Amino acid sequence: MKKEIIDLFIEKTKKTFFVLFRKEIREGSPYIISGTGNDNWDISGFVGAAGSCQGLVAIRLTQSTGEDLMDLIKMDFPDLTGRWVILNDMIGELANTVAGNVLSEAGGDKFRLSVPITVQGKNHIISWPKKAEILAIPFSSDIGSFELQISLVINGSPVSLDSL
Amino acid sequence: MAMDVTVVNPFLESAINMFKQMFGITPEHGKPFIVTPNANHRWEISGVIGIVGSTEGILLLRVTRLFAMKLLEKSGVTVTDDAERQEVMREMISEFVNIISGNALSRLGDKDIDITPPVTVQGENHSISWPVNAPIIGVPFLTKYGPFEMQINLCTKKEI
Repeated sequence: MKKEIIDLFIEKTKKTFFVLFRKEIREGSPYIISGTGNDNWDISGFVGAAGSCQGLVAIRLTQSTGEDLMDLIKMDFPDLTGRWVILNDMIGELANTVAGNVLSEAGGDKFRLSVPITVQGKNHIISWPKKAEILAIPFSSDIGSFELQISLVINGSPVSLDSL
Repeated sequence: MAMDVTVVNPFLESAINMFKQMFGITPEHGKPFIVTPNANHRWEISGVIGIVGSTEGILLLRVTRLFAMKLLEKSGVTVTDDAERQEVMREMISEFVNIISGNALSRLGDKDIDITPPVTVQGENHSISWPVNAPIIGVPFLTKYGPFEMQINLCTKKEI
């Protein structure tokens, strides 16, 4: 993946977390996921992209980090189902916001994003599209760690760490 | 945005045709129902594809591991170990949703609809949810290799 795109993902993710949660987060070193990779996550929010940008952008975190993020938004929930729905919407929307902000700068205006999807389930496995490398950017904060995972083809070029 | 039920049928027809052509089986569909996203369920593998453009939404193909294993066996693809079997099964389910959606879009004939790359999720009792403006329609199917389910949520953008 080209460095400027990685930097954009890092910048937009940090900005989104600061705006929404007033949280400073720290990025780790990006790496390529091989095989099913790191699936030690409980919640994954992702959006698919079609058009000039094709692929997937996912944010993956543990239940504990998700619950801590819920506490930060200081909302009241009528019941557990209501809390479950808001948590899913919030994680999906995080993926949507980061992907939308990055791709509108890096991929022009001829792409479309799917509605954001959230998966919950302990250690669930995601099988990714195979057109580009799956790249992970780890983040850490005082409420835990999470990962941004990306597999994208932008304007016909698969983004990969080799293209640096 | 409004749910247009006429756009659902091409996806169901496309799924039935795919199983007929690839595996020589005709899935029988049951009564459609409204899906409750956080309900417990039996599906261990879900193929997911996003539909974007003048009609937007999500198509899920949900199967059991046993169903996927039987189809993989029937396909004649050989694998060397269980890890490879799991990976190939997930890729097969991704390919199924891709074929079903691609063929359904051809039947719809609307050039302003596209699909995102397919993704498959595997995990016991995993939940999948997304923001909806219309009900998620579930359609159960039965085959000689076991049951599967399609879940469709589509909204057509109406011109004002």
